[in-house]
Amino acid sequence: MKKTTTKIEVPPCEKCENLASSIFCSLGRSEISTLSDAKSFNLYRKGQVIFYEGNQPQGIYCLNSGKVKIHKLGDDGKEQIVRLAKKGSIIGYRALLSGDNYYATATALVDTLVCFFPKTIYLNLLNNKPQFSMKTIQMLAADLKAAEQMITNMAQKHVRERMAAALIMLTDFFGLEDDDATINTVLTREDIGNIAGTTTETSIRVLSDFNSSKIIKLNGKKIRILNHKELQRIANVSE
Amino acid sequence: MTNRTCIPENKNSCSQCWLREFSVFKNCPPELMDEVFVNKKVKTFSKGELLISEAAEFKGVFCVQQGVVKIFIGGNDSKEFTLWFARPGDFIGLDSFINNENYTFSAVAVDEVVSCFIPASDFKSILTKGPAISIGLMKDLCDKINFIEDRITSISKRKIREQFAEILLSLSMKNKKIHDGEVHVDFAVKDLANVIGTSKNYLDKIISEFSDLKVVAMRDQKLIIRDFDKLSLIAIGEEAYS
Repeated sequence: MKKTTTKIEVPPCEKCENLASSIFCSLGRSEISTLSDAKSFNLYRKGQVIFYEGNQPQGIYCLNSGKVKIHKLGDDGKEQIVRLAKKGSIIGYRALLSGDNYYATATALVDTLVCFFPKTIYLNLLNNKPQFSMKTIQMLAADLKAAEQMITNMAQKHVRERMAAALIMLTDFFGLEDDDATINTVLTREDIGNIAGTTTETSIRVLSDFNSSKIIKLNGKKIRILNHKELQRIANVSE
Repeated sequence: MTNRTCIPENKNSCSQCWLREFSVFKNCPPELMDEVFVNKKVKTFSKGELLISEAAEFKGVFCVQQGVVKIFIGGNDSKEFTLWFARPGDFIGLDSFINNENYTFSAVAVDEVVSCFIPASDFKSILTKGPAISIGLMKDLCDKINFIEDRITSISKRKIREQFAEILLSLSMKNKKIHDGEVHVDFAVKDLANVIGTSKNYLDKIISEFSDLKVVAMRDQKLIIRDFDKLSLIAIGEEAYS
């Protein structure tokens, strides 16, 4: 019984280590403490859904730790990952801004600690803090650029190139582990396929192909990049 | 030639421009725009002329007054991919402006284009003039991201013909020009192929297939939509093959 008493804790926003790199960094002390007072938090276990496509947004989520995938369901029921989020990322804000329902589903890839800020607080900041809304606009523009890059890859590259591009994207986004070679994330072959827009079977095949040509080293779900240059070369081939 | 066309009487006044209500500045006080956009210029481009070329230094944003502008990545030696089409009232270059970087795309006039050009400095100052403007901008960006992400989802999973049907539908929704229940599509097949990311030849094949089904028709090299119901069924992949 004692085990259940380990309570999850998140620091107040002003003490959060993600603050300096988050969109809230432009806010003053008093706003941050209002923000902090209004938030609630939750631990999402690996595989648990944070919000569902089609639901109505009630607020925004800020990742205190962990990793999340944002995915949409295609008409044939196949999943496509459109974005990833990590520690310090804000998710679910776009639906709130445009007043729509969630356009995608967010699922925890590992155990993830998430802070939740109610809608009114966020909209209030947007209306009263020009610097804060500029940050939000910048975040949107960066998302747009990433999405444009992704669709161009999808439209023009073959599966092998897209898989290489997906691995590079994962490296850039999640970074490397202490050995400076292993991608700092655990994704299933299916997830990687869903980023590259291909089937699980193809994803497995291409990864093991990369493995045998010594471009990467597969170790369970961990992926070590052995030849980053070659991977880059494959990803950039467009013909 | 195009729909939504009308060059305002006073070419230099945003407050008099009837396209304002379609643009990101819908909720911006009209006088403010006149006051801030003092260095605005009206430029015309002939068909095929570039408004923006990829990787060029950011100079300002364009607001399309007349005609259609194609926004694309790549071209020349690399393959070209169309991101979207800008129509009257649409702004081009907002995202480059925000991220303070060079243009990340090219823009070319699909037909005769008249566009206002607002230099970076003017545009910068309007964003400091209150939340209504930045919220308008956010909504515009949200719409663009949603549009692209929807396409990411469909591009990998759906057949080219389904995507093509959907593109035709979404283009025709913007186009109000209807003759006897037929809607004309003002885009070249090659451009449409680039939107989907396929070849013109393959699209020609699909068009002739669609023509047999009496969904579309080609007349004087113009694509005409004849049957919306069937087209929308194809778009969602529920068309019954006979």
